[in-house]
Amino acid sequence: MSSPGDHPYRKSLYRILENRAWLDAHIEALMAQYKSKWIAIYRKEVVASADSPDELRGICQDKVDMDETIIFQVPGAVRTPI
Amino acid sequence: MTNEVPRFPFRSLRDWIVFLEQNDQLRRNKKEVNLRYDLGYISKVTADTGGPALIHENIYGYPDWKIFCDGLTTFQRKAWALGLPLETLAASLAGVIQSGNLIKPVLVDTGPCKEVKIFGDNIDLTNIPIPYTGKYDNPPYITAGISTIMDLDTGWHNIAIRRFQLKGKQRLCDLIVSYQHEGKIFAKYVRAGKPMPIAIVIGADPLFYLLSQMPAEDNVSEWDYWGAFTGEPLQVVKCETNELLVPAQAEIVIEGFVDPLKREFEGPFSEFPGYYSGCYYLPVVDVRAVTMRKDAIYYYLYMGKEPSEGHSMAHLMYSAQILKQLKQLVPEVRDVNVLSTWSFTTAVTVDRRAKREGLIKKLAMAAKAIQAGALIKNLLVFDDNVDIRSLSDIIWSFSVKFQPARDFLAIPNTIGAELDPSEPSLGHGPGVSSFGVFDCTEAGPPYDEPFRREVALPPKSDKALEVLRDLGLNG
Ligand SMILES: Cc1cc2nc3c(=O)[nH]c(=O)nc-3n(C[C@H](O)[C@H](O)[C@H](O)COP(=O)(O)O)c2cc1C
Ligand SMILES: [Mn+2]
Repeated sequence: MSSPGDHPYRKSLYRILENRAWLDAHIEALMAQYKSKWIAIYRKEVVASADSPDELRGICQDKVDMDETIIFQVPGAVRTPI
Repeated sequence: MTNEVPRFPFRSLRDWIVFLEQNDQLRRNKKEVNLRYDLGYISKVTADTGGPALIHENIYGYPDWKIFCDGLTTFQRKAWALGLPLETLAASLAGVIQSGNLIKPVLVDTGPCKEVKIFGDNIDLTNIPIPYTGKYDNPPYITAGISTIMDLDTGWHNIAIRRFQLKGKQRLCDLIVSYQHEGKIFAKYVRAGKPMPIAIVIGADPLFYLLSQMPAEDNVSEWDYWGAFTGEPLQVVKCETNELLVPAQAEIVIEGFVDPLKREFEGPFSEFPGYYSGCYYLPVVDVRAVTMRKDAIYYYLYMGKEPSEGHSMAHLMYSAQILKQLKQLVPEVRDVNVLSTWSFTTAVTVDRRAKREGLIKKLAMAAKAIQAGALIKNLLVFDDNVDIRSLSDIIWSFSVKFQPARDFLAIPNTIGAELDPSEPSLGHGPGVSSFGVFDCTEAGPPYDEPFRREVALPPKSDKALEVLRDLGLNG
């Protein structure tokens, strides 16, 4: 089934996957720096941080494409259930 | 060509869709929807209002796809899917579950799920329209993927939905928790140092979906119950890249392996208690093949605070399995009804003539020992003259029969649900809970004082009935 890979939705999803891979690779450093904060990840970097998602959105929504941005609250601990 | 109206048993999602449409229980949405922003809310409102099943036919970025959702959110539709009468649904379901007439699936050569086959580097899971659910899940999750795995020693096939976060074109994370069957089976692969084959089925008949939310006992394949309901075996085909079996009529099958050692950062996800999960290091599905129908329909399940299609399926099927498994240990048990949150709060009745000292404690211990009882946190016990399908009867009985100092039993440090937001504040972190039993049964005889007796209904006189009839009310 065809699903155009160059469609804007697909392009932003690929960007999201890239951002997420970057987040996964740097989670320990991010936890050391931003524990409990909300961060915005765009083009594989943290472009803003704030104490709440609304505040974060306010800071970055004019600067970056939100469809390509991950809004994420940095956890204090990560469990390995199995 | 026959134009037969499909009836029970529904052998595919297609049969189910035609049936629902003919019974005015399905709407087609032709307005464009964005996977990122629109589908979760629509499903939530549909479940909250008892709305119809939906098919979204105009998906931004996915012109050839359709998305089906919310088929099993009402009792009527669940009764149709199980082939049971709505009026006696709980009792009829309990009857089939306890009948033991299980039928193994039958292997067939091929089926519609094999119309398209994609392997290895040609796979790109972003070709499949995967809706977002919660506002902060990112990337999105496959929520209606029925994980099919096989026990390392016995060939026991287990089927259950897991959350699968999209992590790459050929990569998903799998939330495997130790008390569920996937955890018990995966632990064997970890000990043996072997990768676990997995097949993820997206889009199947409604009975298959209900069975994916039924916590059967160890070594019991949920799909053997497909035959118990229908009288015929489920038709399955072999996977392309492993030995697993999957329903021949499925819409989409994702095949892969879970490495015993590899873990990847995952989460958070909007989970069934209505709270986000934490973040985890989770096992990873390396995808090796995708097979599907030419015009595959994606199945989407909303997840978050109840009600939802997932809760609707799980509460019904958990009730029936808890009853079956509990009765084997405590024959005095009469009925079970999951009230909330995948059985966090569950009501049970006991034969009030068979009550004896210690029975409620035996019941409490049994509830935590059975496979289906893993998630029970608050067990409410009633006499069998209480209608535990009526919330007002439950609250009334709790109010007038229960004495906190006498009738409450708490057991600290039990195995937790992992996702219960009240667990971390106990101080042990998630994964450790406590268990409470609320004995709402009535004190036994003698009923030698007026205040020991429930108020008798006023007499149902012929005149009273006549007046009610004239008023258009049922007596
Ligand atoms: C949308 C949805 C997502 C679910 N995700 C998971 C999950 O990630 N992990 C899990 O153990 N159970 C999950 N469940 C619940 C199980 O599918 C369910 O409890 C099942 O009965 C477990 O079966 P088992 O005892 O064979 O493991 C999910 C259910 C639904 C409806
Ligand atoms: Mn199972």
